[in-house]
Amino acid sequence: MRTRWRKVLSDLWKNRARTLVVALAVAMGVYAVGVVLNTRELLLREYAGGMDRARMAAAVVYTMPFDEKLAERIAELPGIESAEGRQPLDTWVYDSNGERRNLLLTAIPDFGAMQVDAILPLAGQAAPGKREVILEWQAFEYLGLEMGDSVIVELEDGTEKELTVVGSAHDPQQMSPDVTGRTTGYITLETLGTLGIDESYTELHLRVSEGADDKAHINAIVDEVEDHLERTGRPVLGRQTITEPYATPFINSIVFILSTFGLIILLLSGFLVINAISALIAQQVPQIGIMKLIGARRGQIMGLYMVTVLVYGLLAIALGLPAAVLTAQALMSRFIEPLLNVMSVSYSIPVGLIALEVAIGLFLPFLAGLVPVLKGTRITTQQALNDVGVASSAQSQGPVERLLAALQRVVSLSRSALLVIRNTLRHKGRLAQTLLVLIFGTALLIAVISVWSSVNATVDSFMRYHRYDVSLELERPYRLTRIEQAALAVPGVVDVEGWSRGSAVRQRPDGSESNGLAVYAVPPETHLMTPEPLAGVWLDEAGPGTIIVNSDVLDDEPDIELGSTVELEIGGRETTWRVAGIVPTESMGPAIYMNLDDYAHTTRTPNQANRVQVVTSQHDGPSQQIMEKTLFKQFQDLGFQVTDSHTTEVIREENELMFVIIVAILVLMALLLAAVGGLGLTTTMSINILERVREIGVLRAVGASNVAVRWIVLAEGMVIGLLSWIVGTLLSYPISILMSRQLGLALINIPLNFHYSLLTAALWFFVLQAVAIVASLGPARGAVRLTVREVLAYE
Amino acid sequence: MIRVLERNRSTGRQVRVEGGPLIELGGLTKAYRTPAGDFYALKGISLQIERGEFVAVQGKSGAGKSTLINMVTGIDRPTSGQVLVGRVAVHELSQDRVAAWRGKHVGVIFQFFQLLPMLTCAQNVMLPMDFANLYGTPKERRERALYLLDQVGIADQAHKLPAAVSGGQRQRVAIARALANDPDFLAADEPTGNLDSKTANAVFEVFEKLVDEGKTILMVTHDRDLAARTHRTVQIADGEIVERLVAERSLEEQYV
Repeated sequence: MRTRWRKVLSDLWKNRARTLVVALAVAMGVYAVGVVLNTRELLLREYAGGMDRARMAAAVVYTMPFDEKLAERIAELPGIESAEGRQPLDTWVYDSNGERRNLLLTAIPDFGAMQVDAILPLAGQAAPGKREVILEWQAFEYLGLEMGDSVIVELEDGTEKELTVVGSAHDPQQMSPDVTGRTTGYITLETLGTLGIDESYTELHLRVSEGADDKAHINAIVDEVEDHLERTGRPVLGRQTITEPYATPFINSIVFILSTFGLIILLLSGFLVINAISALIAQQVPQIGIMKLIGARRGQIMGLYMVTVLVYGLLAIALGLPAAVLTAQALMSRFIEPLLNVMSVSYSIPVGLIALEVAIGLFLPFLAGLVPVLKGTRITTQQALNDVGVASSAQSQGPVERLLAALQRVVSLSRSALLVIRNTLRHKGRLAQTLLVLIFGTALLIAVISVWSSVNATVDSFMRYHRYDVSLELERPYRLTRIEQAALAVPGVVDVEGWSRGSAVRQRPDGSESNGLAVYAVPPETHLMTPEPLAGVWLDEAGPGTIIVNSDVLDDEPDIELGSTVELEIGGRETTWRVAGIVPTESMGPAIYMNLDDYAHTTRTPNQANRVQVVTSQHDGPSQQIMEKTLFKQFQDLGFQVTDSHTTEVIREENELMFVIIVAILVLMALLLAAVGGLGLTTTMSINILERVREIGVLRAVGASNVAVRWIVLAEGMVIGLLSWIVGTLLSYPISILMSRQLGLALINIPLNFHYSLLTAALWFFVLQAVAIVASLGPARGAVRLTVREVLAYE
Repeated sequence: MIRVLERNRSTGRQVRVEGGPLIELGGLTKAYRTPAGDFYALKGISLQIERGEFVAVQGKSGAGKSTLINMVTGIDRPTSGQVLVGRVAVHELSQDRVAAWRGKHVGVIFQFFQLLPMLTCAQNVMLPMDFANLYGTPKERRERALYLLDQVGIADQAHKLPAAVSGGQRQRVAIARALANDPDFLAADEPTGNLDSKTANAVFEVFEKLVDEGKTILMVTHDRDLAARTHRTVQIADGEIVERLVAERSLEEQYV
């Protein structure tokens, strides 16, 4: 090996700590970009693969019962690629823990030739027989069932039927049951008949031949289909047009967050590498002089350092790339797959993508190293040999000196304090780079935690609609006194309220009708539902004849505003109401809240309710579950027809699960940012000390103690930390607002309830100071180790 | 053209020199800008050094000795005047070309050795050959490095890092490195300044040996005794040569 390359290797090996720091700095960027690119690739590829196999419908038309022949005729209409009937059936089963779970059974015409909304057989039978069911694969764990088990399904009318589990399948269009609170099974039409349901279909699932992403085109085709259905005497009850999979907005927001943070971290690690390479060059200046002295041309020296830089890149790739692949796979398998019900065919990362990440790993340090190497090797032999680490800029009477002079006139600063400030501001370019890394790190870290905090605040605001512990849904309204007596008879029940849940359709001024609106009728003085109005008042101050609407209603019915009068059809009666308040959505669609008495009067169900909201003495999840079972049994035993029940802990978990992937990614990115910031400060402090070797020698020669020298170095790091914290914290506020807003809009169609994490900002101040101290400790220790003779030997 | 310059001071042999002088400095001036105005480190120095000559430069601190060495080796550029070394106008070469020229034609030795700390003594000697792309393969270069280290008496230290050997040994490594590409002349700036007298004498003997073998050496030294052992001494004060004749006369008296 040529001697010059031996020097490169020796430098790398003998400065192992520095090599590791620089390689880590590059590795951060490689890792961030790798995680982003790999996760994006796996997510989009595997999700799209699942959707392709599922042959997602472009539209679903809800109509009166029809048979397969009608679906076949519709499939022959122009623009239709395929059409199939489906009939869903809501049932309930008890899982292995005795929990009552919702199981949606869907009757499918031909399991062997599904052309629309197909399920993909995984194990057992591909097609169920009579009284047999194929379960979605996540249902097995959710319900605690195994292949071959018998499952008792409870129908809406309370009758129970037994089905045998004969297979498992993947339905890529079903999200995790932990999020939806429901799992799915698939049966034949014949089995549907054995459950007492008409052996026909009520949903027509369509795929279009082309323009599957064109809503207008799909609607035009569905119009034709609806005409056809109506000609056969079947009124159309509704339609759903689907241009993208349900999770696409969610995936887009994940990809957006990943890409944004990936780029920012790459950029910040680029600055970090510039600083680190500058540190290396600063340290190597005398050696550059020696090499020039013995005949090295600039190109040869540049070659040495660029090779060094590329070795950093290779090390970074070795560190960052496998970690990025593993992280992407873990994100996929631990968070994305279970939540979005993605069943990955492969975790392989394409060679082209790996090559791109390797190229980034090499290109990033190459690009970042180019400027300091060009600058460092431009130095003349004489300057390099005479380098004693005192920058010439220190001699100039720049704005810093004038600022300090002005400061001195106002505040009396000690010599040490002046030195600290002057040192900090000495290299404005480098300081700017370090500050940039730390400011962005600080701002984004606080913003990320604030988004997390906003997620919690949003979930909390959702939970203001559920300030009870257990809720029971009743088949029909029952007298309030009977409900209250039944609930309060259960030990551990502290409070009970009867609510009613119904639906309404708005009669618009132009004569058209709105989609269905959920109606929640509650006692106006209730303390079990306490949303904070966005405008107007809540029911307790609203008075009779008024309603409160949520923000989703305004999205669908933009002409409604506070004080508007609206015509609603409730229970077959048209009534007029005044909008007295607007409340935030619970992300469950448009909803109207009204006084229970008003609702009871309108629906002619005085002093009755169809929901039981119970407050128990214990509020933890397990206690709530016990109470849910006890109350369910109690109400059934007393002759109530109970159709469903839930606990608020489950609602909270379901809401939080929506955000779990995003929060996991955000926290990962925040940790990376913190690490990049810390490394940035360490490298800056190292360079600063290297450049100030002689100054430190002089300080010690004139009697500065180790403590004094150490303090000067540490204080400089702390000043940088303080400056970054101030600017970064200020910047974090608008970034937090923007991120919370965009994330909320992407995930739940409303901005998150913004909550700025002051605590994080405060804690980060101390963390940053600690990082500054730790980052400066090494250089400070190095500074006090230098002997006066060593540093002054240059003279 | 062959002309006799003077006798070798130890053997009494005459130094035979081919062609004209190896180094010709003409009207060399070097000014540095300072806040207090221009400071002239060299003021119109003219000097010729013949091939095979061993010349000492003496003077007080700040007199301009190191600046003179820096001019001759191309480390620094004159403000005016010319530096001709072996007919090469060094003052006109670019930084890059001067480095390449220096690598092949000049060996430079400093008081503080200036060795690369991460390379072994042998590797330090091999590095100039590598940069100049001379002496073929790494194996050949290693053999030459070991030969040169043997010549300066420290072949047994070849595999050690500079930090592991004594000051005198480091300076011998620096001399071996200066000889790596068999340069025309050696420039030494206080090569014994950081050594004890015994070691300094030993190192100086290496220089004497090199001169005997035909090398030209220009050496800055504070040591009058060592200067007295060279062919001639140039005294510099305030950037000007002040005692050249006296020094030459003393040489005449000593050797002719």
